[in-house]
Amino acid sequence: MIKKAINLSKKQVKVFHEIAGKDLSVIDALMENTDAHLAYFDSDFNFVLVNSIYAKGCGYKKTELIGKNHFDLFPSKENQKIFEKVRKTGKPVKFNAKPFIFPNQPEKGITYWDWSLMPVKNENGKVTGFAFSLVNVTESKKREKRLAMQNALSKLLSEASSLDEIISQVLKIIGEGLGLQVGELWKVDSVKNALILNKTWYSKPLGKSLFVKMSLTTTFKKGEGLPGIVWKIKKPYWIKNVLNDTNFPRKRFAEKENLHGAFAFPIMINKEIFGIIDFIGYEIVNPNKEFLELVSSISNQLGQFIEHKRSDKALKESEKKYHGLYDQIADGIVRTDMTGNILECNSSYANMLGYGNEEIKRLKYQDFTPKKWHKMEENIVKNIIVKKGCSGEYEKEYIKKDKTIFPVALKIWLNKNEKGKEIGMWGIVRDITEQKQFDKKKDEFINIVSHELKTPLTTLKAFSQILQKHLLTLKDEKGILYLSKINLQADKILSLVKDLLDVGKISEGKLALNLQLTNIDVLVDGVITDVQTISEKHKIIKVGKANSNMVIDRERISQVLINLLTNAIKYSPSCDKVIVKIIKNNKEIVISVKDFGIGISKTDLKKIFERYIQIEHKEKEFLPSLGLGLYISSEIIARHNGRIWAESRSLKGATFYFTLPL
Amino acid sequence: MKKKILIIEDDQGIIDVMKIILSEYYTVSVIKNTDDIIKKIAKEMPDLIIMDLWVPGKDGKDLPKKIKTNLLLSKIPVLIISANHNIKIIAKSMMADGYMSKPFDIDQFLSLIKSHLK
Repeated sequence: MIKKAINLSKKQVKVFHEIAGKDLSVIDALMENTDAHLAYFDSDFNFVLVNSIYAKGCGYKKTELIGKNHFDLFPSKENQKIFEKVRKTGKPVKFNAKPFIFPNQPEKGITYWDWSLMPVKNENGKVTGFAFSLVNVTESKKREKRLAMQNALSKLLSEASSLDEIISQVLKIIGEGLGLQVGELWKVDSVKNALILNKTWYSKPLGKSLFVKMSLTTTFKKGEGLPGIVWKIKKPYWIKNVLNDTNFPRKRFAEKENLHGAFAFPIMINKEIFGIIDFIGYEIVNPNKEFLELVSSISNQLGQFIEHKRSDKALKESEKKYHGLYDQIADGIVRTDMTGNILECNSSYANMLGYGNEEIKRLKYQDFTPKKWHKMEENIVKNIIVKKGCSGEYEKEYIKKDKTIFPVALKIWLNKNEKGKEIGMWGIVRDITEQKQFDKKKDEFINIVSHELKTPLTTLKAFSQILQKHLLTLKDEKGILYLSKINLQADKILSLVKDLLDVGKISEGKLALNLQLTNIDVLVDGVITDVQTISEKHKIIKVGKANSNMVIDRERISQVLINLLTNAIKYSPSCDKVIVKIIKNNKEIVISVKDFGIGISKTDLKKIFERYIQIEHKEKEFLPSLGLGLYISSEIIARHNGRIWAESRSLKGATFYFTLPL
Repeated sequence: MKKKILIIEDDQGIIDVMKIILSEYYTVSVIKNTDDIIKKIAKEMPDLIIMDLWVPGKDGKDLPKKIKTNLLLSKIPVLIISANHNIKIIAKSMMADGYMSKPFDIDQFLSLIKSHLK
């Protein structure tokens, strides 16, 4: 007899009785025509009715289940408690996505079910049976969990500053998110040249397992075990079922814990392996596209995270270092926009001017430059900085906050953005107060030296001239001869003093040229005449003509020619002639002085135009000079845009050439 | 009567040389220090002044200019002698009538003086 169903209306019951009678095939049809796992239990939880899907899902035949106790077959303290509660309260119970692991099919992994357990009562309200339905929502649940996992992972990475502090959490998030049991991070030990365990996570059931304990002391060489393979191939790898795999050293322990599937992936930074993460779970791995994509994405995400953090750190350290330098440097560094507003500067710049770092940003550089420099600077900005990109070093003055003025030397560059547009300028500025004071002292010193040395020389020469005239009237020939020797020495001293002062001027860049239109032949003739009067032994022969008037410094070019002639005479003491040749071509005049004396060796030839170089010759006594004449001559010729050089061989005389461009 | 030349110079060597060279043709007087120099020159009223720019004393600064802009003294020719390389430029800026650089040739010196005393 079909008992009264509490939820069915009187009409439904009547119709059912009419159609089905004692035929349970209706019930059977309903139960088979669904994806849900359906079963009907009696009050002691024995199977009364069950559909094929349920039976198949448990791995049994329908007939094997009928009459058997659910909890004898599938022991579960938790589920039993739920059933008993429903029996006691008579209230139905539902669960959404309740996890379940098949006791004899652990390789299926964690499955998720929508549960519905409904009690059936008799007229007395006593529970006589249970209708049970299970819907497999594993796939959608897994998808949901994966998404949640990815979000949790992203959030974790966005807030962390290093991988070390979050690696345990990362393993946990992935492990729980994918329903796995063990997660490990392996790192390369360069000394042992093997992978050793760095961090591990495991789900509750595996807490005390030997598997986890063993892993602490396990190492893998390249190619050995799952991590070892990934180390070798630098790509994700999986093992469907480790129990069937030949390259899984921890197989025995895995078996004990019902672990089947494993996969691993590398974390790469700049194509180098940072570490290898592997996961092992109950479920056999089925590497579908979705799964592989997930693994790749996690691998990339972690790799990028580390790379990003590293370059961040490197950048911060580099910034710190350069900012330290920027502020320590004695020179001022400043950046402005194109109108001159100060955008930023280092402490030296602000301090130089007596302003605070912030205060100075409200000003323009024109505000602390004396007006007399404004036009010059505008010119430099418009015509040099903008056009050539850099001003080259120039000098001006700054006004400090306390109104004192001081000299500065600066070099300014043009600042462009990526599109090549000029967006401002930046420069290096140096306070040259001390330098200027030093220069001033040096100039004063040179003046003093010049005066102090030339004064007694003047007296000396004047008196020797007076004496000469006196001796002439006395017709004292010997006296006249001796006097001329004295005069010669006085001239030598004078010449040396002049050279010294010239060198001083050259090194300061102050060798000023007094340019005048000059007839070259007249100048050369004049010099030859003067030098000839003091050289008794040598005859100076002139060859060629210039037939040109050129703009030159007469005194300085004469100085050069005198220098070359006196050298020629000095270094050919046993000869009797010196030849001065003038050649004109269409771009320059070439003047040469040739002697037939001791010559210049190859090594000396390279150095003769340098400062302080003296030529020593083994066979001749040391010929005195300050070693400055040729240096000064080369400077003078250079300032005229000409060239000066020498050709010679030891003991075969020397020829010195210089050119003056037309 | 011989013309009077005033030498403003402190170096004894130069003073001696000049005295010897000039005494033959001129009367020579010497001032070795520039304190109250304008007064002293006015007292002398020489026909020509030869001076070194580096003579010690309080009033030596821009002395040639001071003389040339003084109503009483402006007509006196002033020649400066100096060891400075830029003597030509300096002489011009000092309003001097002529210059001689050190060291100098005696004959040139004499002819320069002669030309300014004409």
